[in-house]
Parts: sequence; C-alpha cells; structure tokens
Amino acid sequence: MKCRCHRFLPLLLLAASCGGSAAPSAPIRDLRPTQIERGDKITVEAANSLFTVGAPTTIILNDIHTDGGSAVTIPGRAVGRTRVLFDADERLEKQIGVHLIDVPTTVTVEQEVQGQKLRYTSSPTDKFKLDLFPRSLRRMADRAASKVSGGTIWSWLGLTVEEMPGVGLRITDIVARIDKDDLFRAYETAPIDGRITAQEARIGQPGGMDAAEFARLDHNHNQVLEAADIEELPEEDGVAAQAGLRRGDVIVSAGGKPTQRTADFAAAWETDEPEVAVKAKRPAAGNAWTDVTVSLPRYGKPSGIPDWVIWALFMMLAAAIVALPVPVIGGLVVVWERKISAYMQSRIGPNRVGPAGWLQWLADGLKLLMKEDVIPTDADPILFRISPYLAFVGVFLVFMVLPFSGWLIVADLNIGLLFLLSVTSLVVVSIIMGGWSSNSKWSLLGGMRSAAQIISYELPASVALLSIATQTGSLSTVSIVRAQGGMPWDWYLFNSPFTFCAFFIYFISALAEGNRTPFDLPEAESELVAGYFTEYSGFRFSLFPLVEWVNVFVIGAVTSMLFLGGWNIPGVSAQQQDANGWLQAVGFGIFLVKIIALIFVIIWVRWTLPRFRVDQMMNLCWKYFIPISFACFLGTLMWAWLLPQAVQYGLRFAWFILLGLGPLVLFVKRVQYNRSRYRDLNLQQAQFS
Amino acid sequence: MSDAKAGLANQRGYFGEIIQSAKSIMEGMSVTFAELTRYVEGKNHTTIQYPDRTAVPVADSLPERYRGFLEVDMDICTACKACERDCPINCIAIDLDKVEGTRAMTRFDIDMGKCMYCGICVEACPTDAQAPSDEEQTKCIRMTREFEAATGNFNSLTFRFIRPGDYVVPYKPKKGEVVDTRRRGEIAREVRKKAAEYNALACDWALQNGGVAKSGGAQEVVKEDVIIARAKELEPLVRPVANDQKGLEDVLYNQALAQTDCEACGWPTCRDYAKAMITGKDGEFFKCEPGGAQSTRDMNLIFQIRLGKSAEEAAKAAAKVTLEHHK
Amino acid sequence: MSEMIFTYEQSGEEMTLNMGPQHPSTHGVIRFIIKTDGEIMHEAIPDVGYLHRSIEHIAEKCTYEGFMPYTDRVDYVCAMTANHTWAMAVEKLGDLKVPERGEYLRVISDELNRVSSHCIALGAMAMDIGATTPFMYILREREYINDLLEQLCGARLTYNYHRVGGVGWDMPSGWRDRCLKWIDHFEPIIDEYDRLIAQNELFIKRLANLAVITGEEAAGYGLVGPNLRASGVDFDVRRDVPYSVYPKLKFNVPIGKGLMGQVGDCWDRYYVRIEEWKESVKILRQALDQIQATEPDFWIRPKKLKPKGDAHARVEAARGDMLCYVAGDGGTNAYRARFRTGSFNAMKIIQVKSKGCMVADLVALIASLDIVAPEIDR
Repeated sequence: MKCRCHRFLPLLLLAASCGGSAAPSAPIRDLRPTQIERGDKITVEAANSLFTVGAPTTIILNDIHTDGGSAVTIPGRAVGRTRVLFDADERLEKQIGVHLIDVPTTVTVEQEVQGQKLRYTSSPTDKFKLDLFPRSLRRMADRAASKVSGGTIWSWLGLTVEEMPGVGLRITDIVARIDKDDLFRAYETAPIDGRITAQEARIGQPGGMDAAEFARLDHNHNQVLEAADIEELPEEDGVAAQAGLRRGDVIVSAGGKPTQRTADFAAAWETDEPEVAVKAKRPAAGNAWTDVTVSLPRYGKPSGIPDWVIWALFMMLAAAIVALPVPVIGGLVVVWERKISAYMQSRIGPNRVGPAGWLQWLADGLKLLMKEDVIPTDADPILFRISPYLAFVGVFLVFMVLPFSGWLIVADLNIGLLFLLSVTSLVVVSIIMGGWSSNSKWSLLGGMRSAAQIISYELPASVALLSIATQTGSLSTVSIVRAQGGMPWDWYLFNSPFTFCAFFIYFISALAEGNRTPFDLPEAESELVAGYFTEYSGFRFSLFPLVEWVNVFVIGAVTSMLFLGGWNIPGVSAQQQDANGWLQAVGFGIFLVKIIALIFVIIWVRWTLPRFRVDQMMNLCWKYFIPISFACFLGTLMWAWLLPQAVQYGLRFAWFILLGLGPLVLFVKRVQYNRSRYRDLNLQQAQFS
Repeated sequence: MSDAKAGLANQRGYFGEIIQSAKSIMEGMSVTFAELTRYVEGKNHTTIQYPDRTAVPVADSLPERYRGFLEVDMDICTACKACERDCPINCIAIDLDKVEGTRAMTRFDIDMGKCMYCGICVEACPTDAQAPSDEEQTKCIRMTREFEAATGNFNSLTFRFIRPGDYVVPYKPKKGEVVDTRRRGEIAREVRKKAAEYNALACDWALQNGGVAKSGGAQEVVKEDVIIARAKELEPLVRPVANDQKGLEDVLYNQALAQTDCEACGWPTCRDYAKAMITGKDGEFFKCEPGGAQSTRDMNLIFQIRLGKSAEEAAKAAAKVTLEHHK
Repeated sequence: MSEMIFTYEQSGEEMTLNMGPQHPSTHGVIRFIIKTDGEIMHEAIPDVGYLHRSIEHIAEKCTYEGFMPYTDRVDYVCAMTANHTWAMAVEKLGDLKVPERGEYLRVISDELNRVSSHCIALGAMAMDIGATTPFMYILREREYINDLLEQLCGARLTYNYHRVGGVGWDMPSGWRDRCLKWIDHFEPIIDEYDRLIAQNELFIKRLANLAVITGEEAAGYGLVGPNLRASGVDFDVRRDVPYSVYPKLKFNVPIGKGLMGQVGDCWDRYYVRIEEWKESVKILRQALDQIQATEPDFWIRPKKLKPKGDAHARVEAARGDMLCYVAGDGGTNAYRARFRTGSFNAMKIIQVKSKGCMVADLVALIASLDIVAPEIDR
C-alpha cells in the first residue's frame, strides 16, 4: 500500500508581481503540489486570468536549491487562463531532488504569444512551502523515539561497536544516510517483480551500492532487497556519521584517553565539555590506516521539546480537526431527525434551545454528561467501560476516506472501499461487548441480534459495492467520485438497471448495519427495552446513540459518494473542479446537500415503517439480498462487457427517465391523493371570557 | 403454523413479495410525506406549546363543563353539607358550630390532593347560581377550569374556604332563587394562593384549641358532665312548652336543628322536620345531618324531657341513641 | 420475508427472562415470565395482580351513585362502557327508567369512547411492532374525541358521565354539529391507516399467521369482543343481547376473515378493530340523527335508592362483553358487586399461544389482544 497524503489545507500563497516593462504585472499564486515526485502533474496558478491557452509556455523555477544551477527551466502547457501544467520528469528530479520543500524560489512563467514574449513572475520573497507532514519529519521522530528508549550514548551517536582488544572499538554499524531514493527508483523500475537483486543494485560499480551495504540491508539473506528492507533505512546521518565517522573505523581514543573497551569510551564521555574529541583509524587502500580526528557533540541542538512530542502534538491536532466536527454532525443529525419526525407526526418538534431548536443536541448532551454513571454490580468492569468508546472508533475511522471535495479528504487510500467496509464492521465488536458485559439478558439479546445482523448484511453490502468498484476499476473513493459526473444520468445509480438495484441493496444493508429502522432490532424499545445499552447511563449511554446518528451521516455520505455522484457539479468536469477553489466549495456544498437528502430519506423510512422480526431480517438478507446482489454484480459485468459504450451512455438517460422520474411521478400522485383525503378540523368550543 | 395458504400473504411468490413490499412501503411513505407537506403549509400543528406559548391561557380554552379545581362561593353557601355527604372519597370537611349565638361554619376544607374530580358534590348542591359569562347555570360548589395542580408541597392542595379561626354565617336562599355569583375560577385561584398561608394558621388554630381531640365526635358530646349540663340547660326551656306544639317546634328548631333546610332528613325545611317529629309523622330523631351528633343528642334530650323524665334519665336515653347513630 | 416454520423442540438450555412488571410493551403493570431458547420462547407465563385495587370491595363501601366515578378506573381507556354497565345494573336492580334521550346520549358516548379506545389499541400495536408514526396519527384522532367528550362531560379520561337513571349532562349547544364535523373528517382517513400500516408488507409479515386462535379456542378460553370476533365467532352483545337503543340502530358486526393469513391471527385482530371503527361511525351518524326527535329529558334522578335483590347487566365494551353483577340488601350501598372484563380472559390464552413464538411475537400477541392492565386486575 502506498499512500500519498494530499494536503487538504489549501495553499495560501500570494505572490506580488515583479516589475518590468516587458513583464505584465502577474500575481502567481500557487504551485501545487509542493512535494514533487516523478510523474506528478504540477500546476502553477495565477490569481487572475493571465495565461493564454495554447501558447508555447515554459516555467522557470529560480534560485532553487540544486547542485549546480540556480534556475530550472521546464516546458509547461497552459490549460486555462489561470493554470499552467507541467510534468515532473526525471530531468527535473535530477535538478532539484525529489522534494520541493521549503525552497525559497520564484516561479516565472514564460509564454510566447503572437511573437511576443510574456513573463509572469512571482515575488522573490515567497517561499513555496507547505509540507505538513513530510517523510523526513516522521523519520526524525522515529529516531528520536529510539534515542529516548535506548538511552545510551551509542544510540545517541548512532553507533554499534565491537571491542577489538589491543586496538580499540571497531564500528560495525553506523546510522548514516543512504541514497534511498535511488534505491526506490531501482525498486520501482526493477524488471523482476519489484525487488532489487544484487545485479540491479550495481554493487561495486560507480553509483552503485557497497557490497557490505547490500548485505546489511538484506535482512532475509536471500541476496534480494525488498521494500521493507529499504523502508527501514535512516533518512539522515546520525551524530557520529555527521561528525565524519564511517563504518569500519576503529576508535582508538576519546578525550585523549585510549579506548580499549566500551567502558573506557563511556568514562571518557563523562566530561563537562560540550564536545569530545575522538581519534579513529580508518582502513585505507592496502593494509594502511589513516588517522581521523573528529569531535562528537555530547548533546543535541538546544531544543526544549523533543521531536516526537511535536510530532505527537501535530498528529493530535490533525486528529482533532477531523474528529471534533463528528459529534457536532451527530448532534445536528439528531435535531434534524427530531424535527422531521415531528413534522411528519403533526407535532412541532424541538424549537427552544438555540435558533429554532438547532442547539437541542447540546442541551441533551450536557444533561447526559451531568447524569450519574451507573455501572451494574455484576457487569464486567473493564469491558463495560470501554465498549462505548470502541463503538466510536469504527464510525469515526470512516471519515478518513470520505471525499468531501476533490481537496477535502484526509487520506485517499487506494483501498478506500475495503477500508470502509472493514472499519464499519468494528462497531459490532463494541455492541456485542456492551451487550455481554452488561450482564443483563435484555442487553445480551440485543448484542446477539446485532452481531447476527451486522455480519449478515456485510455480505450484500460488499457485493453491491463490488459492482461499483468494477465499474470504476478502483477502490479509491476519490476515483469513484471522479468517474461519475454531475448530471443524474452520469451517476452510478442510473448506470444500468443492475447498479440501480445495487443502490437499493447497499442502502438497505447500510441501514441494517447502522441499526436503523426497520432493522433496529438490537435496540427495539418495545421488545428489548433498549437492547445492548439498556444498562448504560450518563456519558457512556450518550455515546451509543451518538454513534448511531453519526452512522446515519456516514451512510448518507457513502451512498451519495458511490451512487449519487458525490461532489460533482452538474456541467463541470472533475478536472475543472480540481482547478478552482470556489468550485471545490460548490462541490462540497453539493455533496452536503446529497447527504442531507439521504439522511432525510433514512429518517423518513424510520418514521414510516415497522420493525422486522429476527428471522425475517435474516431471511431478507440470505434469501433475497445476497442472491440479488450477486445477480447485480454479474449483471453489471455483463452489461459493461456486452454492450458498446455508446449504447450504455445512451441508455443511461433512459434509465434516468424510467427508474428515476417514473416512480417520482407516481409518488407525487399518491401524495396528492393522500392530501385530498384530509379535512382541516378544529373542534375547540368557542373561546370563553 | 403454515398449513393454510388461505391468506394473501401466503399466496405471493418470491418476486410478488418484493414487488408488494416495494409498493406498500412507497404507499406508506407517501402518507408520511403528505403529512410533512401539510406541516410545511402550517396545517397540521395538532400539538400546542403548553404552558408558555399558547394563543390563550389554556384554562380559558377549556370547555365550560371542564372539571378542574373545586371552588365554593362562601357568600351563598347554605351549610347544608350535601357535598360533604355525597363525596365518595370524603375529601370535603365542613364544621358547623355555634358562634356568638348563631350557627356558623368554622371550617370548609376541600382536599384537592385527594379529590378525583368526579363532580358528584356539584350535583348534590341545592344552591343554584349563575356566574358571569357562563352559558349554563352553576352551583354554589362548582368545578372550574383551573387545573394546574402540580406542587412541591402537598399541603398547598388543601383548599380552605374559611380562614382558620374565622366563621361564615350560612346564606338563606329564597325558594327557586338563582343567585348571582362570581366568575368561576376566581375563588379557586385565590384559595390556591392562600392555601399555604392558611395551612399554617390552621395548625396554630388547632393547637390553641386543644388539637384535634377537641373537635371529637359523638363520644365528646355525650360525656356525662356535658350531656347532663345540656339537659339541665334545656329543662327550663322544654317544660313550659311540653304540650304546646308551636312552642316545642321553636325550641327544637332553635336548640337542636341545624337550620340549613338541607333536605337530608327527607323534609323540605327544618321546621317541617320539627313539626313531623312532634306530630309523630317522623319517629327518627337522628336525621339532622348538618347538626350531626350534637343535634341528635339535643333532639333526644328535648323529647325525653318532654316525656317528663329527669335530666339524668333523659341524658342516659339520649346518649344511647346518639352513640347508636353517630359512631 | 417468506413465512417461517419453527420446529419447537425442547433443546439445549432454557433462559428465563423476566418481562415486566415495568416493561415498555406490557401495556401497564403486568409481568411475564418467559422461558426462551435464544429468541424462541418455550413459554410465557403471565403474572397478573400488580394493579389490583379492590374495585369490587370499594363498590360495597360506596353508595350506588358514589361508585360511578370508580367504574371509570375499571377500564380507563374505555370508561364510558364501564359507566354504562354499572348504571344499567343498578337500574335493573332498582327497576328504574332511563329517558330516551339519556339512552341515545349513552350510545353516542359509548361509541365515541369505543373509537378512541380502538385508537389506543391500534396505535399501541403499531408502536409495539416498531412503527411510531401510526400511533401519533391515531392518537391525534383520539384527541379530537377527547375534545368532544370533554365538552360533553368535562373530563378527558375518567368521564363519570353516565348516571343511575340517565346521563349527567345533555349535549352542549353546537356539540352535535361538531361531532358530525369530526365524523366527516374521520371517515375518509380511516383507510389512510390501512395504507400507512395495515397493508404494509412488513406489518403483514409480522402479524399474519401469528398466534392463530381458532373459533373453538377463543370461545373455550372465554375471549370476548373483537378478540372473539377476529377468530370468526359472530357474537356481539349490542346485537345479540340488545340493550339501550341499539335495536333501533343498523350496524354490521365485523368478524375476522383471514384476509392476510388465517382466521384468528394477529392481523385479523388488528383489522377487526379497524372495521369496528367504521361500524361505530355508522352508529354515531344514526344516533346523532335520531336523538333530535327525543324529549329533552335526559336524567330521571332516583329519589331514594335502596334496592333489594340482585341484577346483572352486559355491555359490549371496547374490550368485549363487560358484565356487572350487583346485589342489594336494601341499604344505600351494594351488598356485592362483581365485574367481569375482557382482558383477564385474554391473559390466559397468551400462555398457550406463546409456545414457539419469538420474543418479538409475544409483544405483538399482547398488543393484538388489546390488554389494559387495570382491567385485568381491577
């Protein structure tokens, strides 16, 4: 699994124009992505329309930190009046290295329009810098963590030594940087299934690897390097390596004292000096030795906070940004549900707390927080306590892969759908744990029902999703959304009658997995009191309903992402949408509208339908949904395989009319009929006094 | 369980069930959606936002016959005790005593915490009244549209229509009179407000007057010294008029009967009852319910003395009858 | 979704579940001791008596008139018919006459109350099956009835409207029109509940073929009222043991036809009540029409009520044949009073029919028998 973290915080870089008679004033705003790898499409963005589409274009990255030159010229192509694209190729990579991180640079775009050369240049003071979580930082953190846990001077120095009696301490291993990217390049281009053999590593050849190096990396001792082997390598030099020591050196004295044993070195290390002068012998050509003198720093940079703390804090911040809105979403869904149910039942609904009652969830939550947390005497003390939090994890993790817009996604996993299916089924663990540990028969019944239900309905849901995945050819949520369009007939819902069917199967199975009516058997209040959370109270109690309602949001989001086109705007292509921040915002809004509509349907179903019985629920799954979902899966494949593309596209519109608008018209007629049956009634006697 | 295939639900095949399910679910959802659209039009707010966001106070929107708190207009109460007598759960308590020479009510309490709002007391009440802005006639005791009885203090539900320590002289209505009374509900509201205050007073008053024991029943009024003193008090009044029907009637009426014309004895007025007893039409000398044990004792004393018995003998016989009928 | 066949075997361990006395769907304070194997019940043993309040003993301590408000509490969901039973029994005992207008008012109030009682039964049943909205819609109609009855007698639940010798109040002005207006509103939307819930496939699947009670069983266990009629037994006290002015009114007696499953299943018990709504509305229209021709007198108040002897009266209450026996010894209080109600008999059959059902079915079964806890225990 290779995961590339897209930055979801938009780049906010403003560049002032650079003066000059031939160069029009040109605020070039943005260079994206900031971390360049080969094969990337990189865009340079201007704040207003500047570029001429189709004109020969070059892009110059000035003052870039390269080995030789100070500017890199790359051919680009203007794809819009605000955007120029260029590809990161090997040449660029050679020149500026793999990453473009924190590089003080200016970007100049040159165009030749009708024989006239136009230059657009950004301000030289701007730094193109936004790498929230670079790989180097992570490795630094890893090393810092090991430094703390090891706690010895050897791990601080990044040395492994062996005693050579009478000579000194021989360095058998040293933390030192290897040109890992070279290795990776070799790894990716390797002719034999992604491994590096000794031959490919060009051992001993110029630019190739050291034989000892290769042997050391080859953890499996099979003369082949695998991805995991390379991944372990340090990114940067250790302290000793920075000071100039190498593998094979023999340390003969430290601080002027001979070092025959490791204890001698440790004793010499105990001084007040900031640095310790170390003499070593380095093997040279033949049997000769050269003397090397280095000074090793006794402590690191005067940084108050260890790297790993910063890293952990950063991770917590990132988690908070994603996690904190989740309870709010849950709360708002609660209020939305209560309002809709009230409207349907000719009641008024919550309207007291906050504007129109929209803060009711806050009042409810606070009330629950203040309640006593009762734990039954015979309940399992540990499992009972942790199960509500576990319930949260499963639903929460889904937010990792929800593409709220082209940019707004935490992680576009290439196994997105698989991840989604796996984490949603985590909830069952917590439910059965809560049901069992409560030591109440009602809770146990609820837990067992839930386990049977969620595990059964996983199957039709997965198969229905497979139909979609085969259409896209990817499990990545982003690519699934991209493969659809903005118009209803571009959605997967109307792709073929089989996907239409798969939509219903997925949607209903998702209801069952989320314990929503008509599948709310695990918490059926008229049968099991409250099902698996009968014995819970206070804050722990509040987490279960919260999870349930967040789940409603997740069902809506996943369904609209898979079947209803996600954030696609009608009439705007995905590429256009990627390019423009405002369109991203509009897409986000469209996605939200679709989610809210689906949540409405879920609520509507809940307040209309009665509940299944356990055996009927299982019947529905195994006798109806699983066969039909497999039929849909096969049907989708056949459809795509047998019918020409053009026919498929043509039929989509027909399905939209037939399956989408047809039932809608029928439904509206029924609603009108129902409305015609009502008489308004007020039986109040005349008012008195 | 599945032998018979008669019902429609058993006749649907695999796909029939799917189609029927889809159809019926859509049908049901169209019903709820239609209600939703009606809500959006503002047509189906069936609920109201009690108590603070109603168009009119809820008590005012209730029908006239609503059975809420009881109230008594003490200005027109005849102290007939009909309501106390007919109440199935005895939540009304009325005390009649002689105060400054006249018969007066010293207590009229209704325990609204106990009341089951059946309205039988209202039907029993003989005093018709007409309250302003009411369509229908009401009574001296009547149910109001006040209903908010929630309280943290159960005592505040004991409605005392006479301030403890005060007394109210009964009203004497003309025959067939429909008395004008206050707007229904006003008295109940006042009394509700004063309930807490009056309860403390009632407690003080009871303590000052020797607690509950003093109010006692038949046992108290026939204590030997009490009854003989009363017999001696009556003796000079009865002896001179022993054979004078009119005179005896006055004595009976003034000394023994409750003078409320309540019809509990079966006679239209108290004087009629006295006449009937003297003429022998009614031989039951214990039917004055408002007067209670005191009345029975006095009636019997009067008739025993009239027969010529001594005060002691008369007291003995009267005590026997009193204890028999007032346990 | 197709029907389920259970083979009932005594296998494995038995779990004893204690459902009630406090449980959301026991409709009051009833307890069921359930022996289950997982979801499938071996037996559900009803345990009644949590709401016993010695109503019959209270009757012996109260005057005949004074007991009337207590009859409201015999069956608080359908208090009018309990009022009616007591009034009829005492009238028979004291040989009292009831004016015609009083009889019509009794029938009108009875039928209104029957509709509202069935509202509760059907709504609660839908709610126990898991559908919440039908309950709200049906309760909305019940509120309208409550408004009407409140205008008629001043109370919304414990009416105390009937009196020995008549009824307590005549119709207030404009009440008849409001009542007709409500009927016009109610009749067209009865089938809305069909569309919303009764014809819903999920609902049918839950109830059809469940706990089938045959006609013989129903009669044998002493089921009465809609429960009896749902099993196909054509018996209605209003028609077969006529009282009050029912002989002057035309109405049908709906019986269970096994439309969805078999005769006498839970769905039939549900649907018979829907049909009874329609019949009650028919009766109401006729009674409201005929009452205009009656004398204004509605209550002949008995002067001295000290009857001797014994008498009994039967009334078709919402939960079926309600019987009251009363014996007097010449005093103002009854010497002995006895009430026979529908729910108590319905409890017995639960134990028999619960075998092999699932826990969720027990809830449906209890709801379908329309049990009201105080009516069981009294």
